[in-house]
Amino acid sequence: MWPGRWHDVLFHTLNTAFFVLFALCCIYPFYYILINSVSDPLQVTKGVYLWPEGFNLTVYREMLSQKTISVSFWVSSARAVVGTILTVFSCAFFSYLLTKKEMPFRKTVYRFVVVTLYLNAGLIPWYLTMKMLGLKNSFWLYILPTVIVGFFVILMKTFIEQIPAALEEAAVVEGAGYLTVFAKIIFPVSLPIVATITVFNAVNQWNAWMDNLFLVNDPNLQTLQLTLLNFLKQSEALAQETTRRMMGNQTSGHLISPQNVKMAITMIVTAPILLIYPFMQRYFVKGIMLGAVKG
Amino acid sequence: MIRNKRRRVAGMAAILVVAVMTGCAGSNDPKPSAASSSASSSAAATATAGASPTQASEKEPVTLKLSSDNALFMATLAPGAQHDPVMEEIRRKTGVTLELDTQTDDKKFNLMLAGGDLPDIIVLQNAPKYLKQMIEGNQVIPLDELIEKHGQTILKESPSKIEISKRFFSNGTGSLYAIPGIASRKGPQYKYGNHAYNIRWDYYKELGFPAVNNLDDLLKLLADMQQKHPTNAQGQKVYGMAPLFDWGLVPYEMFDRLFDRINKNNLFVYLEPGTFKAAGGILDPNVAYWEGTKFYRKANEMGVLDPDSFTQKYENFTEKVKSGRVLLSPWTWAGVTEANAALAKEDPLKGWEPLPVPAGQTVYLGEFGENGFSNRLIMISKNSKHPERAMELIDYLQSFEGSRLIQNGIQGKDWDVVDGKPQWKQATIDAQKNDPNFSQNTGIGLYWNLAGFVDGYPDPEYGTPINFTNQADFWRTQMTELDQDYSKHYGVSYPGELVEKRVEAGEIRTIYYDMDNELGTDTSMPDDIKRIETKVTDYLVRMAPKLIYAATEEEYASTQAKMMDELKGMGAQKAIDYWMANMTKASETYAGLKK
Repeated sequence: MWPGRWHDVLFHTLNTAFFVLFALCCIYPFYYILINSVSDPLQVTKGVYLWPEGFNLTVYREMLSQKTISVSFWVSSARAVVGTILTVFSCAFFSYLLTKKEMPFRKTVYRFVVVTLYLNAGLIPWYLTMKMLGLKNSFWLYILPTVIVGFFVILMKTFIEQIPAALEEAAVVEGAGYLTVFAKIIFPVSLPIVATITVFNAVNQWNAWMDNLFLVNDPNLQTLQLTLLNFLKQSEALAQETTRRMMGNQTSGHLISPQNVKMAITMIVTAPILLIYPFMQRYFVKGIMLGAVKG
Repeated sequence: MIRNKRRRVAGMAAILVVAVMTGCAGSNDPKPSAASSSASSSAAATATAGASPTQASEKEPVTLKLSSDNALFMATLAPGAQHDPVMEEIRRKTGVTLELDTQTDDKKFNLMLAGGDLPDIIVLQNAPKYLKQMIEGNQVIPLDELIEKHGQTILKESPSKIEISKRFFSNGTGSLYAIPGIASRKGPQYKYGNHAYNIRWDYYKELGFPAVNNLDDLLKLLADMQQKHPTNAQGQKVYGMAPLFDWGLVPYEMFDRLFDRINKNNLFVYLEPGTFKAAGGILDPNVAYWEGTKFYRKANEMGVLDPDSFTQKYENFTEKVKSGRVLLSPWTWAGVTEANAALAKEDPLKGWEPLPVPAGQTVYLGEFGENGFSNRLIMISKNSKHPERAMELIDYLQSFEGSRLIQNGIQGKDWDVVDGKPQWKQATIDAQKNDPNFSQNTGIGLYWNLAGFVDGYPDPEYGTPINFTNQADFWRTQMTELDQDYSKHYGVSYPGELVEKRVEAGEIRTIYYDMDNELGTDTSMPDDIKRIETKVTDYLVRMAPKLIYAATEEEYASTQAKMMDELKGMGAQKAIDYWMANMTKASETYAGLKK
């Protein structure tokens, strides 16, 4: 198995060593967060680097039993799942329609969608539009504005265009309509790109918090990311004179949450989305490649 | 055939659009979750109200929303209606369910302002930025008539607040738009531990309490401590100090505050205590920035400056305090309190205490404003459907009764009057010590920023500070063994008494900033001054490591000389002149007010 020549051995050794080191560099931050989140709070303040010190899961138990966290966990999950399903389906179907020559103004419509990739109205117009659409304090704010994403439409349309026309024609001859063709032929054939979009969108949805901050104040619609952000922001806020004045005047108060609480939230926030990658990865790589080559 | 196909495709596209639009329209309906939660909370309010009819509010329950442009609460709270005992009591008294925006943010506030979307009640913190816009844009309503009918307590208890507000917070209209909150007065403190030299008391004792008469002595003390304790229990290296350079100009504040100057980080123009007359400016070689960098340079030369200081974050610093890797902290809230709690478990005589400041230096007490703070302006938006109820709520929160509730909890449950003096109950005191979720569980202190009077402001009903824990009698019962040891050493009955005795003896002085001096400040800084200030501040922060790492005093001096030239080139003088004129005007207005 091993190549006979010594410099090949050397190369492989160095190569492996390099990549193992590289992999460790990637994994260690996560590992660090993990061991800190399951260690004794006092030990954490002193620094935990290799193994968990004073192993306990109290923080997780406490965090997950807090209503805020569990509610926001479900909100984030719901937006990731519902949002992704709707986005993937809508982008796919819309892209399919764009490939149909019979669709009126399809080029203009397509260009309008592509333009959104380059031009952005800014925060205030976005805020006003969402408010006028009645999306303020609504779960649909998380879903509807991103139902059609220009980037996904380009990827999808390019992919559909390179599917041999014969496939579709054969079905049409058999009497299939647009919906049947889309559901039974186009969508199944496009699975690689669908998987790509799914991963992209699920990650985006899971990580989003701006819409929540600006437009949703309902405690039952808080996303996990914003909850996490609030915990993390506490120490940043201290850099401001006002907050320090606030604290200086207070005789007591526990404003800053302990380090291992922050670590635990970080874990709770990152773990679910990490699980998506392994399942989607094989499609993901293939999908990106296909889209890229034909683009 | 083709036309038919085309129609079908167009139809499908239309369905997609309609589906999206219906989704939007559907969301106009109130969500069952939100509706039911507010319904249940008002039901709860009515239920409690019914339980004790004598004090019950007979008003119809309403829900009001409150937001701000900056952090406002003392803990991480979920947004919306709160259910802690203090908030329940407020609801019972006023019939108002207050829905809080707990994720306050400047950008978000800007959006709400632009969208004409302000909630019923606003606590404005950055008045220079928003006040004009809010009044001119008719986003907030004048309160003159409302306060006559629904704000009698404020009129009775704080008439001067109203006068000041009409004069300074009305954008020149002379009407009443804002009620400035958190009025405070300077008073004795338990430890005077903020803006102080907090050190490890056990290490100081170990060295035999060497006299510290100046900054050089302090450096020597830190170096000696470091030599005795080169590593902590985990074997990590210990340093004398680790200033938080990540916070820009903050590490230089103490060089004003401890040396009889009121710190203002506007190009290091500082104020003289008492009169608040302006002096200094970054081109003066004796201002805090230069004094500070000189001190840190010496510290570095002696090896007591943590090399990590320039890259560490606040969390790293507090961790260092807690794990014994640093020997000086300027604030008790920056890790010191927690460190003391942890160290007490090992040995009750181990822990941090403020080193008495050398004779001739000053103790900075903080900022106080008898007429409230210009950065806590409570206003009612034009969007409010119940402005009169909003006014009544503000009237309650800003009253002595409301302030007492916010800071001490509920009478009979959290505190009681014993021998004519209000006191926290033992259970409350114990909970504050032992329960990490004390604020959330009791509501005590959470809404400090909504109170009318805080901390040391005298409560006219009892003649004690409005925060009942802010007095010597209380402190004497609360001392840890470490505090007792400290007090015994200096012959006082609680740590802060040392400062008071020394002030009486004329050894040291206390200084403070009166927020009324802010009233005369010109808040519309011209753009060119703003540009110069940003540039100069960035430059000072960037150059600090060069000054501090200078190997010799000569190298420091030559860098400083070069910097002075650069600063002049940046137009620093122009900005200094602006601040001098501005702050001089402010001090004149202040003098006029105090006549």
